[in-house]
Amino acid sequence: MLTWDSTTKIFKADLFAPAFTALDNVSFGIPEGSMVGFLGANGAGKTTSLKIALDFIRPTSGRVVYGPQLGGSAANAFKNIGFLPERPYYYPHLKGREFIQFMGELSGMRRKTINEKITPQAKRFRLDHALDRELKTYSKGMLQRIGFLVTVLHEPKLIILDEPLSGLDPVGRKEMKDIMVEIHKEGRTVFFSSHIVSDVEEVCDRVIFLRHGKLIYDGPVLPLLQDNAKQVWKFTLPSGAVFEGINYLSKTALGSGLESYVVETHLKDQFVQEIVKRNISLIGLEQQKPHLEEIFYQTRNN
Amino acid sequence: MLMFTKALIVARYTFQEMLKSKILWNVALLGFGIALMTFVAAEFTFGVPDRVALDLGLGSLTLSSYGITLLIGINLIRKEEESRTVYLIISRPVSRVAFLIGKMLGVSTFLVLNLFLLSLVTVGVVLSLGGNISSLALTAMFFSMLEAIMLLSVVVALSLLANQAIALMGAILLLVVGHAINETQSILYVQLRPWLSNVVELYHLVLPGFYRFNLKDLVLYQQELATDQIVRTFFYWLFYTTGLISCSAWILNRKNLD
Repeated sequence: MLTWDSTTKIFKADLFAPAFTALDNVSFGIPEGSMVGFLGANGAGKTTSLKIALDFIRPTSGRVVYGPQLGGSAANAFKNIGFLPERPYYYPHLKGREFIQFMGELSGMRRKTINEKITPQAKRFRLDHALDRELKTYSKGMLQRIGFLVTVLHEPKLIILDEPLSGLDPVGRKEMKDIMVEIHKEGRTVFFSSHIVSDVEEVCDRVIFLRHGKLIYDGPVLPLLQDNAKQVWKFTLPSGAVFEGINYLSKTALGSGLESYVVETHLKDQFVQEIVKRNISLIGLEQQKPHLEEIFYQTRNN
Repeated sequence: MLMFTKALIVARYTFQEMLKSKILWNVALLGFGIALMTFVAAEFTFGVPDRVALDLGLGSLTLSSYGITLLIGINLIRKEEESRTVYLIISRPVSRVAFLIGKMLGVSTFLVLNLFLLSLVTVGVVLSLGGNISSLALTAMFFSMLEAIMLLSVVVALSLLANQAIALMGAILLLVVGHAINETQSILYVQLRPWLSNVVELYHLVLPGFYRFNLKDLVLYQQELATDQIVRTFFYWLFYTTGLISCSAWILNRKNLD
């Protein structure tokens, strides 16, 4: 749907400043119908990639290809893209309703259509009570929600969100994630950048990972987790148990008279038998799955 | 056609946003100031309080337009970049040129409204003092509007090329020199040095001649201004402003918005 083809971006602040490579020959794509997370630490090149795709800045070399689903060219693509920049400040003196009308009209919507859509969309984003208030009176969460609202108002095929969850409290983050999932289920392609791995892991089926302007991973989330999974089980037991001759990976004191043992999967049954044999009370047992975050930490350290 | 439609949408909401900001309060303050200063000055004049009122009125509306134009123009595009609202607009099917024209059109409409209201105050004060408003005085007010729009196009072009401080200083410099340049030709020092005369000629060709819009002396001393002079000034304004906006559009189209 949208492809970065051998894209490089080198910044040079002034004539005497050293050049800084923000993106280094990066190629990846966003398949239609997917929900893609764009990961990387601050300064990894995520926002630069988005700015190039949206023609805010031009690449030093390489190009961005807009697929036929988006109309095939930049001029057509922008009719089918909804973009939410990172923490925009909007127009403080415009009312919520006016701002929505403004953005809707710019997207080519008729005023009548916009007016018909405002109320249901405002309810969906829990902004119906504040439509006739100036944007300067909105909280950070409300501003993020109205930004999201105007991003999806014209029903774009591809939604690009730059750090949509940053600066939000846990409740606000949950709400935003729920809406993103809902919109994806409606059949839209969602591409969002984040530096918080757990958010991406929670909602995305694909992930693109950048580090220092280079592509580290581009692919589905599940195989990445499975391939890197070291299947282990965590047993929670009362303190004081002794397991001689059994290889466990680690033992941790949990406090309140409890300890946890981490055991590899092939030794799990043997460990259970030992517990039963020693008449030890089993407090808890859970399978430990690796998180995307750990995998990326490993990748980074490697 | 589509570009112009989008520019009009941007202009409408820019104007709406500006109307709601508190900038228009300056009309009330300046209007009160003009009335008060006229009342005080009239006490010290002998038989011409209406001319004092006209002088103060024309001066105030010109200064007000300079202040507002510089203040708004310097931040017009830069503020949109800093607040990232420009991204919300140009990530839609809106070209950068439409965005620029729309912003300038919105601010220009606001400037015209501001000057129109101040002109009304001036006319009201002059008439209340028993004076009359000549067609030349109305032309002077109209020229103030043209000058404000031209100054806006200058400051926006500079703000796209340099940082805020340099752009602001450059705009003020061009404004001052643009008013004084016409007088320099008559200075003997310049007349005696052909190269300096050539520099002044070159300035006339390239840089903005704001002096063309200043009709205050003619109004106050009740002189005449030929119609062809008015038409020439109008076309100078039209071509110069259009040229500057085209340059700004060219720069903005090539600018990295990061």
